[in-house]
Amino acid sequence: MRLSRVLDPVVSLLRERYEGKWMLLAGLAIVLFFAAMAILAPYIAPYDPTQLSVPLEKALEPQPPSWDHPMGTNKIGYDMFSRILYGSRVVLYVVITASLFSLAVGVPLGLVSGYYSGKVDRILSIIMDSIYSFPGIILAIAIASVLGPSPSNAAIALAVVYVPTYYRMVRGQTLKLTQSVFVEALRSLGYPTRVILLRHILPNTAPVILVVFGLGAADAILTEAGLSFFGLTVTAPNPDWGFDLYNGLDDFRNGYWWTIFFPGLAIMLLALGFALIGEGLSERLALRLERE
Amino acid sequence: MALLRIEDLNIDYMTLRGRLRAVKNASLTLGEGEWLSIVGESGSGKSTLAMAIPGLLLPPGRIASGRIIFQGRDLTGMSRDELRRIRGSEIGVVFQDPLTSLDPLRTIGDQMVEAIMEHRAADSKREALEMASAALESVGIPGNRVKYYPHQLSGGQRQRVMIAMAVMLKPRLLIADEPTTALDVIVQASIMRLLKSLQRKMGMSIILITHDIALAAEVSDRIAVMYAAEIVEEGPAEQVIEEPLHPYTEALIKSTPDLWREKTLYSIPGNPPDLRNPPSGCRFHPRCHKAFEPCKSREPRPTRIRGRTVACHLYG
Repeated sequence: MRLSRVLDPVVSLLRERYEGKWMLLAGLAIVLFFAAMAILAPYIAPYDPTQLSVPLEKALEPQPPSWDHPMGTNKIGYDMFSRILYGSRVVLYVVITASLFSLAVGVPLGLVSGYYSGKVDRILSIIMDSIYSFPGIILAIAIASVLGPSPSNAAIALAVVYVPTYYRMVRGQTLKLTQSVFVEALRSLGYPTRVILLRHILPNTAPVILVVFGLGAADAILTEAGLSFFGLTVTAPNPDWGFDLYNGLDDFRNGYWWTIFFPGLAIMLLALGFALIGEGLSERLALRLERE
Repeated sequence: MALLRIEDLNIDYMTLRGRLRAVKNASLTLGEGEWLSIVGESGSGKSTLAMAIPGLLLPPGRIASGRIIFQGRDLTGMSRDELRRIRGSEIGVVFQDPLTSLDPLRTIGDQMVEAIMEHRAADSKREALEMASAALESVGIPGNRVKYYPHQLSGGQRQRVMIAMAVMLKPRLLIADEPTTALDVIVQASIMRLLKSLQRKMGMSIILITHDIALAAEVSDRIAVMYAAEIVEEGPAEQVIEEPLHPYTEALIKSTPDLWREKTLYSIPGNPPDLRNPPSGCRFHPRCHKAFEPCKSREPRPTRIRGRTVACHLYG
C-alpha cells in the first residue's frame, strides 16, 4: 500500500497526455541510456579504460575514430569509448549521491523553517543564503580541494552547494501550505505538528522537490565536470568526462578533435537529460496549477 | 452550568508598528445546545475571538489576558498538547473556504480515518472507516464517497465533508467561521439547515461567525455584535433584531439588503477605525448619529438591560 502510494502517481503521470510531456520522456530516455551505460560498462567496453588499447607505436599519437575505436584513442593510447563508458559511472555516482544528500538535508530544514517561522527560520535562512551567495563552482572547488580528490569528496562538495536550493524551494512551499486553510483545518482537528508536517505538508511539496531534483542534478553535472576538469574528482589515469576534457585540451589545438568532443558531448547530453526531466515535470505542474 | 464562558478576554497582535488589540475585554456565555452568532464587519475581531477558543491563534496573535472556561476548565492555561486533544474531539471547527480546506492528495476517507485514529476514537482502521462513512451519511453524502478525492466533490459537498469531519467525534461545541461565505445562496441555505439539524440531533452548541446579520437572525438563539474589537451588544436573537439597542446594531440591520424595501442600500457613514489608533471614548462615536457629549471622552461600560448586554452611553 505504501509502495503503491509512491508508484501510482508516477504511473498516472506517464499515462497522462499533456503539453510538454515529450520533454519528460526524452529526459528519462537520455538519463536511462546513460544509467544503462554505467551499469553495463564492464560488459560492453571493448577495452580497459586505463590500459593501452593500441600497439605501442600507435600510442604516441591519438588515433581517429575507427571500427576498432568508435571514439578514437587519446594521446596515451587509451580507448575513448571505453573511457566514456566508465566515466559515466563516476559522474552518475557523484551527482546522484550529492543530490540525494542535499535533498536529505535541505528538505527537512526547509519544512521546519517554513512551518515554525520565527527565530529558527531566521537563523537557517541566513546560513542557507550565505552558502547560496557563493558561485556554486567556486564553493565546490574550495571544499573539494580541502578534502582532496576523490569521487566521494566531490559528492560532499556538491552536496553542500545544492542544499540551499532544496531548502529554499521547500521552505517557500511549506510557508504557503502552512497558511492554507487545509493545514488550519488539520490543526483544528487536533493533529500533532509531526503528522501535519510529514503526512500532509511533505507530500504536497513532493512535486516541487522532484522538479528541483531534475534541474539541480543537471546543474550539478556541469559543476562536477568543472571539479573534474581541475582534477578534483578522480586522479590519473582513471576515466572521468571532465578530467578527459582537460586532458584533451592540447589535442584539440593539434587537430585531434575526438579526445575532447566525445567527453564534452556526454556531459552536455546527460545535463540535458536531467534538465528535460525537470522541465517536463514543471510543465505538468504549471498546467495543474492553471486548471485549479 | 454554561458550556463556555469567556471572561474579559484580550487578544493582541504584535505588529511591526506596535501592538494591535484585536479583541478587547470580550465576555460571553454560551449554554449547552445554544447557538450564538457573532456578527461584525471584516476586521472587527470576530474570527480572532472565535479562533482563540480552541487555541488556533497563529503568531503574532496571542491572548494577552482573560479566561476561556470550557466545561469548567480554563483553556488559556492549558498546554499545547491538552488543547490539541480537545480540538477535533470536544471542539470542532468549520472554515470559510471549503475548496482549499481538505488535503488535495488524500482521499476523504483517508483523512477522516487519520483524524479518528489520532484521537484514538476507534480501535481499528476498519472501525474508523465505518465511523467516517456514517459521518458522511449524517451530512447527506453517500457513505461510499470515502474513496473520493476532494477535487471530485463540489464546493457545497466539500463543506459538508468538512462539517462531517468537525462533528464526527461528537464535539460539545462547533465553531463555524463564515462557513457559507464562499458558497452560493441556495447551497448556503442547505448548509445552515444541516448545521441546525446536527445541533438538534447531537445537542451541541454552535458559535457562528458571520458578517450577515440576516442569516444570524434566522438561525441563532443569541447574537453578539462586534465593532472595532469590542462586543457592543449581546442578547437573544429576536430581541437584538427586532429592537436593537446599540446604534451600531441598528445601522447594521438597516444596511442589510431587502428586496421589497428601499431602492438604495443604507450604508454607515465613515470607515471602521484603525485598531492601532482607535478613537477616544466610544469607538463608534465618529460614525454614530446618536452620539452626544460623553461618547467622545468616556468609554461606555457593558450594561445589562432587559436580558441583554449593551455598551453604549444611551443606556447607562
